[in-house]
Amino acid sequence: MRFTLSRASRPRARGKREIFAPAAKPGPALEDELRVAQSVHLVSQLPALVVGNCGGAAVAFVALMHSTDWRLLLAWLGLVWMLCLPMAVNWFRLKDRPAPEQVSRRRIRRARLHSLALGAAWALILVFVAQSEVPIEVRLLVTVAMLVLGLGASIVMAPLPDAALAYMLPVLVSMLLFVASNDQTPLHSHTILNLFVAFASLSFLRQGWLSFRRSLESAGERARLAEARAREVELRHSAESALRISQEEVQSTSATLQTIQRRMQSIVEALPYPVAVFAKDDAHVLYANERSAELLDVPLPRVYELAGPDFFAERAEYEQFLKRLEASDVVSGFEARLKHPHGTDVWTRLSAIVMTYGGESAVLSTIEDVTERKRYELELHAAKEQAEAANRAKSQFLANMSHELRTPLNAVLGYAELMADGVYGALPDSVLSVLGRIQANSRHLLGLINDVLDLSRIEAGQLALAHEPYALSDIVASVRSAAEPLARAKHLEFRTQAQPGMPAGTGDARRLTQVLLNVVGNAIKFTDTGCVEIRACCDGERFVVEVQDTGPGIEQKDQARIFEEFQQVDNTSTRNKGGSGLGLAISHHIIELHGGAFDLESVPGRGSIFRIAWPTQASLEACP
Amino acid sequence: MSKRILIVEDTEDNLQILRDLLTHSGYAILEARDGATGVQAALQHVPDLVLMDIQLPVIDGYEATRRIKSNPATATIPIIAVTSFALAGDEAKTRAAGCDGYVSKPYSPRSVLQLVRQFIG
Repeated sequence: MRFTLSRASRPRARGKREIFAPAAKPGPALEDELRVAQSVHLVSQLPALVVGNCGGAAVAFVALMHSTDWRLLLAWLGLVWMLCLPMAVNWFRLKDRPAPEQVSRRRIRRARLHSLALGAAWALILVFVAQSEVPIEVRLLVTVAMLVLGLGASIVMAPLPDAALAYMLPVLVSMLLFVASNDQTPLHSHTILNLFVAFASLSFLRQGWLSFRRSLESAGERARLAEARAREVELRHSAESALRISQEEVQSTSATLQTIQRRMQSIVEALPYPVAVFAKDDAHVLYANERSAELLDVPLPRVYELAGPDFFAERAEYEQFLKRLEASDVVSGFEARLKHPHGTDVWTRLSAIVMTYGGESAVLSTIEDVTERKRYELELHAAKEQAEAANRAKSQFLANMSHELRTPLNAVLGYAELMADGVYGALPDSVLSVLGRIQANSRHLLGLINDVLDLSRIEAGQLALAHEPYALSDIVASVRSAAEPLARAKHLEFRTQAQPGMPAGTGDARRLTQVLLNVVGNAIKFTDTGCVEIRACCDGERFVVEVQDTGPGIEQKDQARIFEEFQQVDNTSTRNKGGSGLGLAISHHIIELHGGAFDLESVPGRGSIFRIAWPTQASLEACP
Repeated sequence: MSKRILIVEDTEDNLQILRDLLTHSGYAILEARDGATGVQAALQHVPDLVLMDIQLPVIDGYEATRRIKSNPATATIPIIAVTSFALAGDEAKTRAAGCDGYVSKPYSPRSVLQLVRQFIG
């Protein structure tokens, strides 16, 4: 329900024209409201109107019945009562029924007509009063009663001023006419009284109307106030509930926070690492977990008396740690010795991060006890040094052995050659033959020495490969020139075949020659009839060299064994064929160092094919 | 006049082999049994060639070679290292010290002679 009328726009009743007019441009809502209120008022006043009119008419009837034609008067009384009857009926019918705006409007219209009819009926009484038989007292009585009725109507019907006027006007007009025209009633005071009462009635009507309007407006205002208050209450309620909710949220959040804090604290307490927080300015301990105390072997409260530098065994390490922390807000894996009050220092790995702790700048440090690890490291380091020293000693020993064995052998071979060359005079054939045996055995001894030294170097990981360009065809040629005389001596056919246009390789040519010589030498050594053939080619990024012979071949079960040290298929053959049994093992290692592999195809009784394949470009890792 | 060769060698047998080989081939021989004496002999006699052992008393063959090569009076004398250091890298070390040739022990006297002849005919 809205009221558009404000106090300022309330009608200012000045002059009659405005009095009964609706409020100055009231909003349609107020208009409707007014109608409804008028209708309600009307219905509520119906009993008073009925009683007043019926009673008044009855009084008039009794007063006039003796001085006029009572039958006509009775008819008049009947008319008035008949007019009152619908009002009584309506009161019973409508008193509790709501009156929507449309209905109210209709009712008011009807009430207006009804009032006019009733007023007109009352005006008719003057016909009886005007008759000369009516005594002056009765006239007075009746007119006064009418005026009282009018006065009452102006009060009762004030909220419906137009209906009230419709009721009063016929009576007033006819009465004025009557008083003015009838010189038989010279009671001027009566006339004056009449006028006064009429004026008073109008005045009451106006006052009643205005107060009705006012009450209606103030009712609107009250309603508005009530609405505003209701809104305010509603707002307050919602604000209160919002506050309650947020308080609950704060409570639950703080409960959650406490839970989290407790959880975090228990996690930190349960950590297997010491954790401590230091103030950034003076480095005193802000927080330390139990492990920190355990690490330092002091009671926890004692830890809180310490500051950063007290932890460190070496002041320099502390300063270095600070420097690292200044350079970056995060330090991880800083190794430092911490002071242990009851014994040796504790080796630790410190990780630190700059943080805010209770509003002040702090450093969170986790301390990892790495004393054990450090000890292992030191032991490992010592062991490594020892191993390296041993290795150096071994190298030195190898070098010395090599040197010391060569020097006397040089004398043996040198003297033998000089003697054989006749430097010391001509010798008989028998002596020359023995000299030849001395030379052969010395060379065998030299070969053995070289092989043993090579193998020792390989085992010590000290066989260094040269890393230089070479041509495989050159290697094959040099092997050919060395091996061909041996083959010829055994009446073996000897063939070499190198693919033309092979790319240059990178690796240790001397060692590769050694490998090929070894394999070809073996092939010649173990082959008694037939032929030995070398085939070299390049297959993509690999060199492949095949050495085929028509020797005795190697049993499947022995094929893997021949690459092991000191192995020949038949160990008894060592004495027959010579050789240390080291050659193939060394060759195998050399090819492995080049990143290649040996492959053997052999049919016992038919011969063997040794296939050696290695990358044209030996990787650098294999060549320390 | 025959060419003079200085042999710096501390092992008697090896010294004798070289002496026998070279005198038999018509060279005149000068001998030194340690590095310092070798350097001194080179300066004193200015031989046509030096055969230098490496493992020597007083100063080793590397140092003796460096001294001979750094002295302008002897710098042009060719020096052949004759050594039992026959491992990988040993030849390079002698070359770095200033040797012009390298023979590893045990050597064939014939190949030594061949090398000597390459240098001084």
